[in-house]
Amino acid sequence: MRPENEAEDLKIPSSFDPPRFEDTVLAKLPSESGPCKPLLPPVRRAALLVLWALAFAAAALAWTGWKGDIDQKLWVWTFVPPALEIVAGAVSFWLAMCWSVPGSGVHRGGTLTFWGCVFALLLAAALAAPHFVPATYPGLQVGPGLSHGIACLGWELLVAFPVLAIAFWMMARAAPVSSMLAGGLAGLGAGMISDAAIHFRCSAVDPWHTVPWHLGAIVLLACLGALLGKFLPRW
Amino acid sequence: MPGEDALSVFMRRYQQGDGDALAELYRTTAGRLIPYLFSMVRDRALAEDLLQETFLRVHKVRHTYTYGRPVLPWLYAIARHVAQDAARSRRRRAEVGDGETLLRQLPALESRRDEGHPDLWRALEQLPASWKEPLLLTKASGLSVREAASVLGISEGAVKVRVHRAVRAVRRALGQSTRERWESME
Repeated sequence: MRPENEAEDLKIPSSFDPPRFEDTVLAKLPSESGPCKPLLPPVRRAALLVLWALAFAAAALAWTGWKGDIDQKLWVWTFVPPALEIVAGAVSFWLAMCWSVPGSGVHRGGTLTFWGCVFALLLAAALAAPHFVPATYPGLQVGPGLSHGIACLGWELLVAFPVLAIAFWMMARAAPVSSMLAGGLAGLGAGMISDAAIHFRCSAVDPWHTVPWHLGAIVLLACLGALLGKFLPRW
Repeated sequence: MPGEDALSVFMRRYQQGDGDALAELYRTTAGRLIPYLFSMVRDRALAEDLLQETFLRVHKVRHTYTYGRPVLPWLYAIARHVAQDAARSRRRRAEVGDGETLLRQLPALESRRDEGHPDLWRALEQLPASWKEPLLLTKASGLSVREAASVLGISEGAVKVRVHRAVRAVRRALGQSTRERWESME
């Protein structure tokens, strides 16, 4: 028997009528309740966040400089993963904005699956990168080098923090029903777009560098977002 | 009960500053929200308080409603948030409250929680929250599976499965004869 059919015969009784509006809510409402400006739909708020993230990334690149060999190395690996990361970052921002309003229709299972798939793809891309570079590309075998790694991590955080702050401001203005999840998604989005930008700055393709320092920055930002989400005011 | 389109229009009017629209929204939806809230807390007075609080929060977060989106999942998600806050604060009060206060409260709670169909409420009480909520949303409030999924932030498939499991568990707990008794009372 199908579940919904089997459930047909169970009805939870309701035994009383609600009190009158005038006796309850009206008395407690502020006397002046003028018009309010509705929030933009999640997709448009996510688009705004992506634009801010790209603007910060472009400004940071202009300030700190491109990677030295970018004019000679405009090959597919430079553009495809960053483009995919920007798309995934946009989806992540959209999910964060959806989780910031009640009853938005997105579900936890789908969100967590998206999260898992993104991490798996990023890890696969980081591990596969050295095998797909053109023969002419010298790459940068830096290994787990601490100073170069910290520079990349710091750069990613620098680009992501302002975007994360804007995302949190947007979420605080809304009414998040699952603030840790929303915060984690905002951190993931900010991390992915700043990681996309670092492809134009760091020449390293060595997984010993990209996994801990580039992917690690995304994980760090997602965790930080989830942690900060806990402190979003309950509405 | 007006359809979703009418509720959507009420919300837009309310966002535009028409205070009467909230009263209309209340009159058309409170009758559906109260059984849900009552099922969550099993206390009539508290359910009425939570209903009031739900509409005060609706006022506070009315800007988060997007015109054209279904109103009921948005409204129930707010009601659920309010009920969760109330449960949290009750737990906190119970943790810090002295034994004497708790003893005074117990008989009152005991008498209220069996309002309606005692066997059924007792059976519902034994369900895990993740099963009980989909059951209450679909059976006490009459939301569709899709609407309940939106409120709970889970997939429609998960709602169906949880309702199915909850119904089976309630049936087991009630036993055939008791079930027939409370069904005949309706």
